Amino acid sequence: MKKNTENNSNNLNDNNIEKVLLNIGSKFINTDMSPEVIHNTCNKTYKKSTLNPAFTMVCFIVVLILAGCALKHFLFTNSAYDNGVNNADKNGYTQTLKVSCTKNNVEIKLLGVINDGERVLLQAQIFQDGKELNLSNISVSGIKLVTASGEEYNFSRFGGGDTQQSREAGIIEFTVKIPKSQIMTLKIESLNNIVGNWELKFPIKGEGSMTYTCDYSQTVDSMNFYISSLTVSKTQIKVKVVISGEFAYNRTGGTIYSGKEKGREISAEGYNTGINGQVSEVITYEYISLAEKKNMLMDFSFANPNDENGKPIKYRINVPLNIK
Amino acid sequence: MIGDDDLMQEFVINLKDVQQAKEGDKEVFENIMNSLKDQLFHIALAILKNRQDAEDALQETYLKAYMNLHKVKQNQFFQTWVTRILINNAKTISKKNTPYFLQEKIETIYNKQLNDEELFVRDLLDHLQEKERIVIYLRFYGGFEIGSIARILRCPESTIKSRLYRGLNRLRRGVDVNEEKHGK
Repeated sequence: MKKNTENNSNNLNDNNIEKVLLNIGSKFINTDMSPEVIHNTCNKTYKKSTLNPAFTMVCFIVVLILAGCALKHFLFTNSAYDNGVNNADKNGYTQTLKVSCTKNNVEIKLLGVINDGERVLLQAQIFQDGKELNLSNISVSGIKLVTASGEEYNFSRFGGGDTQQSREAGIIEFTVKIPKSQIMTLKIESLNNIVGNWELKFPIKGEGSMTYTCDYSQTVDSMNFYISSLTVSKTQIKVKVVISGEFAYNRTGGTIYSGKEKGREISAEGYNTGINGQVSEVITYEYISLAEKKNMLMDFSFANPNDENGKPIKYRINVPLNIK
Repeated sequence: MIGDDDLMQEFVINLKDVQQAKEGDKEVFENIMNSLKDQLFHIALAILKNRQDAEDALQETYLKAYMNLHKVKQNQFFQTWVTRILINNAKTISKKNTPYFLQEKIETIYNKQLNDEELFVRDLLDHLQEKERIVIYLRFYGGFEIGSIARILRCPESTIKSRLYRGLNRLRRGVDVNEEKHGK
C-alpha cells in the first residue's frame, strides 16, 4: 500500500482525482430494494401509528382504575370551591375522617378535614332515607364547630357541588384558627326542618399560618396602595391593604400572581377608614407559593362609577417579597 | 477541468408530488423515494461500506421521512432533507459497528472491478477528515451541487467549497502521506 501510495500520488494531479471519484461513484452497485420495500415500510409505519383496539381498551381500563385510585384521595376537588382548597387537597393536606351520625333517618358523614391555621374545612355527605342530598339545596340551622375547650364557632360557608367522584358533596367552612391538635365536635341542630341535634366528634391536627410584615406602598396614577402584611396558610393568602384614591370605594375584585402561579380573590373584609377616598381591607386570595419568590403582582379592579357600562379600571402593583 | 455536465445531475423532484405526499398520498411518496433510492444508497454505501448496513440506513430513512413528512416546510428542499436523514442514520449505524464487526461484513459494493488508481483513491478517502469526506461523497456520488450540500449539512456554501477544495487537494497529495505515516 505504501508503494502504491508513492506511485499513484504522482498521477493524481489536477482534474484526474475528480474523474477517478466519478468513476468510483459510477461503479457503485444499485440497491435491489424494490418499491415493495418502500411500500411495506410505509405500511408498517401506518400500522405502528394505528392503535390496536384491544390494546387501546386495556390501556383505557388501566387508566380508569389508576384514575379511580387517585381520585379517592381528592375529597375537596370540587368545582364549587376555590383552588386554594382544591390544591391543598391535591397536595395531601386533607386529613381523612370516617365519622358518621344518624338520627331521624338522616345520616351525616364526615369524610375529611383541612385545617390551615386560618380556616377549617369539613367535607361532608348527608343522606336522607338512604338517598344522598345536595348540600346546596337543603336548609340547615344551628351548625357549630366546638373546640375541646368548649369554644363555639358558627359556619361561614356551606357549599355544595359535584366532586370528581361524580357524586354530590359539600364543604362546611369555619373561619377559626386551630393551632393545637385536639378532638372537635360538629353540631347540627336541624336539616330540612328535621330536628336531629347531630353531633360528630373528630380529631384535628393543629396548624398555624405565617404573617409577614410587608410595609410597602405604591402609587399608580392617582391611586395609592399600602400593603401592610401578608398572612400565608396552606389554602389562602390574606393581604392587609389600605387603598386611597378616587375609586377606592368601588373595588370589584382582584388577583395575585407570582411566577407562573395565580390566585383569585376569595373574599374581602373592608371598612371605610373615615378618611375621604380611603378603604382598609383584608383581602383573601387562593394560595400561591411565595417561597423563594422575589415579588408578587397584585391586580386591583375598580368599577368606574361614572361609566356603568365601561370596563373596570385595573391597577397592577409589584410587591417586593422577602419571604424565606 | 471537470464540468458540471460530467457530474451526476441532481435529481429533480416534482414539487407537486412532494405536496401530494405531504397531504397523505402514500403512493406518490413511494414513487419519490423509489426515484431517489440509488442516489441515497450510493451515499450510504460510501459511508458504511457494506450493502446490508446501507440498506438498513435506507430503510430507516424511508421510515423517518414518511413519519416526519409533515415537517418539511419548503417542498423544494425535500431531497436535501431526506439526504440529511440518511447521513444521520448512516452515521448512527457506523458508530455502532466495531472495526472487527465491519471486517466480517465487508462485501463487494461495486458492480465493476475498481482499477488500481480507483482502489488507491477509495482507500485515501478513508484518511480524510469526515467533514471533507462527506462533502466529496455528496458531490461525486450523490451529484449534489454546492448549494444543496450546504443545505444538507447546514453549513455556509463557502465552508462547503473550502472543505471540497481542501479534501480534493489532500487526495491529490495522497492525504499528506508523511502526516498519515506519523499518525498526525
